[in-house]
Amino acid sequence: MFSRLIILAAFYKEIMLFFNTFPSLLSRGLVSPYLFLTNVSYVILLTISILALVAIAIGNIYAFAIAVIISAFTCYKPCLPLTQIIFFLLYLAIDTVTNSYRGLEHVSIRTRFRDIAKSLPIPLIPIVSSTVVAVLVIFMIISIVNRFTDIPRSNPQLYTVTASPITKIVVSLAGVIYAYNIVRKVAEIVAVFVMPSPRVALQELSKEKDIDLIFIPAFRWLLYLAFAAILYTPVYTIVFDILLIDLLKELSDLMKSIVSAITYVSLVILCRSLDIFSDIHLGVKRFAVTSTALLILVYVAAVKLALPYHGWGAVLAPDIQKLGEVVQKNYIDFGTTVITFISTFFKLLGVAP
Amino acid sequence: MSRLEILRRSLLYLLPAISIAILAFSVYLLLASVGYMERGFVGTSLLSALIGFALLSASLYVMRLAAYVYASEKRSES
Repeated sequence: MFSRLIILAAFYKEIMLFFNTFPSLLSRGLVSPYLFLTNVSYVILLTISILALVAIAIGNIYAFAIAVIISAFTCYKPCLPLTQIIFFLLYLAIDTVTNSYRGLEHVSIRTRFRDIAKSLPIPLIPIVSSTVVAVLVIFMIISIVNRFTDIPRSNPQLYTVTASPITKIVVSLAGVIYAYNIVRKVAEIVAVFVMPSPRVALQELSKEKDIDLIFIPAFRWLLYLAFAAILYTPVYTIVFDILLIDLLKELSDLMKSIVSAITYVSLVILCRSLDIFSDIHLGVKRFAVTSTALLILVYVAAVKLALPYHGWGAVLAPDIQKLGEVVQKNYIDFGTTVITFISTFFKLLGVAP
Repeated sequence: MSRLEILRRSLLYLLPAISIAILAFSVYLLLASVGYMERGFVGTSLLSALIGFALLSASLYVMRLAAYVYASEKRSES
């Protein structure tokens, strides 16, 4: 009962607004709901209040959590919805106490006030420290990106590269992903230092796979992007230009580009899962299966190319020569644009002569 | 306290010391990267930033090991 009151206290404003507007919304007929639904902020408010009502009605903790998260994202003031977050933490504490102590048939729980006061800031320490480190990393990357605008003064050729938003987006995206990894690692380290647990530590230290990392380069996914670009042309040529050519003729240009994008992304995921650039986690079985599948694809495509000339004798005499020519032609078509782009990019950066 | 015990104790501080040394070097490289970018050496700057971030990851990894060693040492003392 008390926990329901907490939810009500957290979201009383939204629920009040909901009950104030809902009757008028019904009375005005079916046109006004449509007008209201086009207003994004009203839809969000409706969602939050419905979630809060659900949480009050059936005591579902997930509904409450989702409502708090949505309200955190849509706060009007440039701040977090502190009251709702504090009420949510209170609710979580009460929920934990009721769940874990009811099963053990405790009538009452005796805690010292000092212990409670001590236990409150402990969960905040890892969060705060990891956030500080991540903010520092982001600040670092932002300061590098901001220097991009100074470059044209000393190196005018670079203007198109550094002024384009794509460069900034890619660099910022890499920074955000890196900062996320940093947050995770720092939070783990600080949590282990603050509350050392020998059992967990021994478990973690005995995991050979986690301890025996040799070297994982940072920003490895950029390497996978490049590697997938190399693999992309032969696979795309074999699958869509030779094997499935009749299917692809029917599709429009937009669909073709979507298909090629999907091929590229799935190749990136494939390279990522094979983990080619780290020595220790090499998935031997998956690697064998993938390379066999690629060889079979090459064989089938070569057979299909030789079929009109040799009939079924093509099974024994696949036309790998012609396949190679087709792939080479496509490499030149697709590759020239990419390679020109990359080489000019590096020439402009001053990496390559 | 025997000499062996002193050596063992000092070895406990080895991992954090390595980690902090690597961290300091990575921070230096990251700051140098900003400086290079200011002067227009884009390739040098990006390379130095990459090395800096890789060293930062390495430092965090060593620190994680140190944290777990510290935590597992807690039991033998108490």
